[in-house]
Amino acid sequence: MAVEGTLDLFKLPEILQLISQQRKTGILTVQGQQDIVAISFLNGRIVAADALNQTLEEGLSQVLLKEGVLRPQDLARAASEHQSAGGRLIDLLVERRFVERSQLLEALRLQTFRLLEQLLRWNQGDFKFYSGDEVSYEDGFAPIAVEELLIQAAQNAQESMRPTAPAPAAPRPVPALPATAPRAGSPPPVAIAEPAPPHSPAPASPRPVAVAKPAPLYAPAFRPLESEVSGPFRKMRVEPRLATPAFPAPSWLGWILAALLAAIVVTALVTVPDSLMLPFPWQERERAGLARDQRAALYLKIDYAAKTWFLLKVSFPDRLQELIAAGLLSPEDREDSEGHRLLYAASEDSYTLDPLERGRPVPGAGATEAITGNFLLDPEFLNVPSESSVQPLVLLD
Amino acid sequence: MTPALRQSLKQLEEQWLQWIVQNNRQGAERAVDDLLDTARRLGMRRLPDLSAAAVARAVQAAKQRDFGRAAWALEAAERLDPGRPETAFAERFVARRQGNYLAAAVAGLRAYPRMLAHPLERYLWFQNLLFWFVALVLVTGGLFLAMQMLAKGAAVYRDLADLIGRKLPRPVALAAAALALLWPLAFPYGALWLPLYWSILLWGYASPSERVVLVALWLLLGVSPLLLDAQRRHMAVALSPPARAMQGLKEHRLYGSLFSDLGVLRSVLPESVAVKHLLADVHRSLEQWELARSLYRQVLEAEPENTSALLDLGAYSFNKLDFGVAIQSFQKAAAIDPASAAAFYNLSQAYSESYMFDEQRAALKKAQDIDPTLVNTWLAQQHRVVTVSGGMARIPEIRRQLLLSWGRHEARSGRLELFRRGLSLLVSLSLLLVALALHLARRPLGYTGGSAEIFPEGALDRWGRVLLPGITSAEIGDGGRAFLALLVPTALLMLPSMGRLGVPIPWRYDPGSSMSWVIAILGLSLYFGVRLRRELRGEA
Repeated sequence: MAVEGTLDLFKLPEILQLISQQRKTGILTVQGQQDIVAISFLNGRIVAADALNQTLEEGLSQVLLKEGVLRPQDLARAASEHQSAGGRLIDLLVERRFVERSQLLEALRLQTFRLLEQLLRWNQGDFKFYSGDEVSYEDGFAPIAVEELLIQAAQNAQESMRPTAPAPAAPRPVPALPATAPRAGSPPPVAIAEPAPPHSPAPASPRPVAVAKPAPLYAPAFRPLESEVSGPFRKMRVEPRLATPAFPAPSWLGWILAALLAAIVVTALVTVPDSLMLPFPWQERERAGLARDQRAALYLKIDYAAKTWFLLKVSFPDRLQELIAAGLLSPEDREDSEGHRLLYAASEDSYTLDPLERGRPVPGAGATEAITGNFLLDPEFLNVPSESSVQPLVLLD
Repeated sequence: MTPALRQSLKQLEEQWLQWIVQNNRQGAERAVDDLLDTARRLGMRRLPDLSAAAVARAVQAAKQRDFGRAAWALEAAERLDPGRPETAFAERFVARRQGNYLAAAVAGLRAYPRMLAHPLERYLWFQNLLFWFVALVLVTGGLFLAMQMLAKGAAVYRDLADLIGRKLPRPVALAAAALALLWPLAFPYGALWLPLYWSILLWGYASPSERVVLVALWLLLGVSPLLLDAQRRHMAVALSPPARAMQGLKEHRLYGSLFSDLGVLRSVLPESVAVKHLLADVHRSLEQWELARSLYRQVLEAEPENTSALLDLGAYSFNKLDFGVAIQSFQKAAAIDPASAAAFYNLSQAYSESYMFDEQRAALKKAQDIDPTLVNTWLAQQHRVVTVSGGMARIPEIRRQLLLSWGRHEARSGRLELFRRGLSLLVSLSLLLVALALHLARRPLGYTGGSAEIFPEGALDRWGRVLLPGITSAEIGDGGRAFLALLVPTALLMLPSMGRLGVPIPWRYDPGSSMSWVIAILGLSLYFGVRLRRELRGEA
């Protein structure tokens, strides 16, 4: 059912009191010149209020900031995410722990209160009441009794001694509510039986409002999976709550999947670090090439160490451990980059290195180094003929 | 190798043995003086092998608590090859053994900057840093994906189950959803395909900043193999005996296998004119003029207008007192390069020896007009003729030739090989396209919105957020912050493994990895300390 009229016919406190006394459930819209306000009632008590010119998020954010509950940077972060991810900003604020839910509900109640307080100052405009079985409102919101609102508003008005806000100049007809408008198959809202003349003086006592017939106006909008309405009725959580998903996933599932992935990454880093950088199956040749180069660099390091040892001891060390103990190699140098332990064997004038895989030398990966060609180590290299006494040519200088 | 050169090298060997058997500082210093004199006669200034052996002797002496011998061994090491980090690290070891921890710290501070003072080691260190950084970003990327799964994995699973559950019974749908998440593990290289597959699945749930991170990771995965393969070739060439020989010549380092390594260079690039020119310069500096002349002639046959070869060949003729031939060479060099002060200076000297004093004065004036400072220096030092190390200047050119030659051994040509090399990049671009296509196909069905709150409120929440960096950013979908929050501790944890990811740097005295462990532990303590402090203050 729907009830409608103008504020010069019925003052807003009277309308509110009427709805309260009759413990009505539904939505009252009030249209002034510059704004439209929608008030949700549940059993005669106010559970939500929303204005066209200020979204719920905007108003609530302002209250949260003003009350010092929310930091501007947190609001900016949440707003940025909200723009990209969608959803409700206020839900995001709670999810990200920028505000507690209890704080949010308090702020929402305060904002609703302030909006209604402003609305009570209107003396011109149109109203329309849509009765229904359910209304949407924020879960956990403490309903505001109309009496409480009126008393508090009167006290505040006296305290502030502020002039009433300018009323809308010329009322416009109430538009059909975009999303809550009757849907196909639903009967249209029915006008009140006796519309008052446009400029008739306000009655001293509330006039009874004629009700045409109950209509399931909001029933389609309050279906469990259609929790969002647009226009002045912005997204609100709907009673009853959304049905649980068909396949709820346990919260620990994310932990299991993350642990599996982290284990894969760490294992790869520890066991096959080259595969991190050259991971694809067709890069086997590059991986082998890199391992070969790493081994060549390791052999060069070992060669430097072994030949330094030779310069002092005139022989190669018996074991690699001796080079490590002398500080010429580090303990990690006993293995190549692929984790193969190096088998070292020395003879009088040479030594061999063989990486072992399961106790056997890796084919083609070994190396032999000798003192041959090194003028500091190889006696043959400097086998100077005894008869030679030719001095180096000094032609310059 | 001429007998004269062999004799000089033999002298070095004997002088080294003299140093080994010395028991006092004075004798050791004399032996080092002799060694350096002999090296200078060969045009060399550093003896790196002997310096390394002196370092080893110092460490050995310190272990035997013979700190006097250790000290003069270190001095010898520093003189034989100045500025080496190994000497400073050994000094740190000796000071620590002595109980002089302040001196040890000072030596350590001196050692680390020296690590970057030598071209080969610096080059390898930066290459290792590049390898490490690529691995770091990829590991962090893997952990970033893990964090995304932590925040959104349940939603991914639920949506998969919902999708499958439209046509299948609930238990089957749940099992099928698990299979749909984990199927890549059943294939070879599953550990690679799984994160890539999950990154595609996560695309639809990701915020714009998280998508930017995902795309960057895919691109890095595609590009890094190409980059690393190219760098690996450069690194292999830098470590090859010919490159080490060239570096040794450049730095005047006479090491034991220098001549063998130069032989390798000649055999690797037998036809290279640049190599011939370099070897000619080497023979010239070793006073092996006959060998040098032969090589300079070969250079001039290939490059008739090679000024430096003409000058050096002219110098040979001059020193052989064949002034007529010398004048011809110098005149030709001066004609090719009229801005060469050396050509006119040498010409003036050759004219002088030929009693052509008018020409001598004119040529000298010309040389002085070109570069008076240099010419006056030559005159002051009584240079009869000057030589130019044109071959040494061609070392970068030889390096490029080596790189090409090395590439010929490994690279295979053909379109298939080109395709194989570029396949990783193709895969990374395909990942992006598949993710977009899947997202467009899935979008009408809807996603389970938002990230889950990972920790319930309570003590676990606070500690969990401190110990798992990036978790809060993952919850709110701030991809860049989540990635950076993971990057810092991962970098610190991976710091000690830098050597394993690249190539071992051939230090002649191993400094160990203690410093990287110290930095990692201190850095992690500091990082998590700051996080804990911020969390306790409610700033995190």
